[in-house]
Amino acid sequence: MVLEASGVETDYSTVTSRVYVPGLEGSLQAEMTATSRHFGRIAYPLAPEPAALLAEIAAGRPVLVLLNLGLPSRPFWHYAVVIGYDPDNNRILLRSGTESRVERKARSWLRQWDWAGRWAIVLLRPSEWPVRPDRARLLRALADFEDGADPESARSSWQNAVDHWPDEPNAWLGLGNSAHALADWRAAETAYRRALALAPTHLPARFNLASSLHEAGRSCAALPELGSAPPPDHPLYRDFTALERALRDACGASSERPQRWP
Amino acid sequence: MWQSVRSALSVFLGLVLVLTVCASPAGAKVISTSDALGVEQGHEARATVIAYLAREDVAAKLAALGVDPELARLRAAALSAEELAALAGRIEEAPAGGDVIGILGVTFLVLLILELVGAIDIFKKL
Repeated sequence: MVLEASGVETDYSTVTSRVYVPGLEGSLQAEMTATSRHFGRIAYPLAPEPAALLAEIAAGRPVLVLLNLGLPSRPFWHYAVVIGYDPDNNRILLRSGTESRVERKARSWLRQWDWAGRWAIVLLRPSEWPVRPDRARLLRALADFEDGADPESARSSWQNAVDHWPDEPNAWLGLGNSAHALADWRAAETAYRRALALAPTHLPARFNLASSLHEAGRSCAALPELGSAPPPDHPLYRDFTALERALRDACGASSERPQRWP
Repeated sequence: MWQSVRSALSVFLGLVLVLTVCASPAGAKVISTSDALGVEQGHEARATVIAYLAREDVAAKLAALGVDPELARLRAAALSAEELAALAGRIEEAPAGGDVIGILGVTFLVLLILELVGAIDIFKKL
């Protein structure tokens, strides 16, 4: 239902067959988010605050929540979709199971949500932006989306991110990566350079710029961009040394004219 | 018959050669944004934990408990990104300033040390 509100045409059994994990009652949160990626939507987890949830509702986006209809000690998990809030009567409006409209007292609903760890997500189109974007959480959601979505959608989601956060190097990195996935080397290079202009010591951006130039057949130009490898205890040490070796081999073998660097 | 086998073979070898040449710079990959975020957060967490262990009061407490601060540092460096993030989170919650040997600080510190030297396994469950 959240998918439909987000403009995806689907039917219940299609989604159920995708999120239902046989052997477990109900479906897993990870499967839920993976499914939304499959349908081209970014699963953005909300802050565990009623205000964050109500803000999304007010913006017209239904919110998928996990509820515990049992007790903390004997949980009975249930997914429901919050579709509205009636402040006059202090009621939460839900879609729950196959019932299209359920009203619940805000207080009892809140307890069920509390007992389920206040898990809540909204589904965003690549061009949409949440009402209250939390930088770390949204970057993580966008990065996860990049891992599962098609490169075109990933690219428009990162383009949207840099439009909102032109000062965020990781958003430029994401834009570069999605351009790279589409073999658009020029756009990838531009985006990586923007990331590096904002964060000159951003190792993944440096690595990806060099790797992207290498793939575009500019291995000699990539060498100075890669720069020196991080210390051996750094997680990217091996990647850097391996790429440096590949760049040296390719640069030495190719007829690409070595460039002069001051 | 042999003629056709030979021509097929030469076409095949030619194709292999072309593909090999074309594919030479490929195999280059980029670090996914997801991995990049992980590296960055992991690195910050590591720095927090190592800076904590390097503090004079913490080093003194470690020495008093008979733990080599250098060993503690090495163990901290070997923790996984998730363990580090959990530890760094704890350190940031702990009272700042001079009173790290306050109640919470001591408890935390002892647990941290015991964890680091492998005696207990608390933080992995966080």
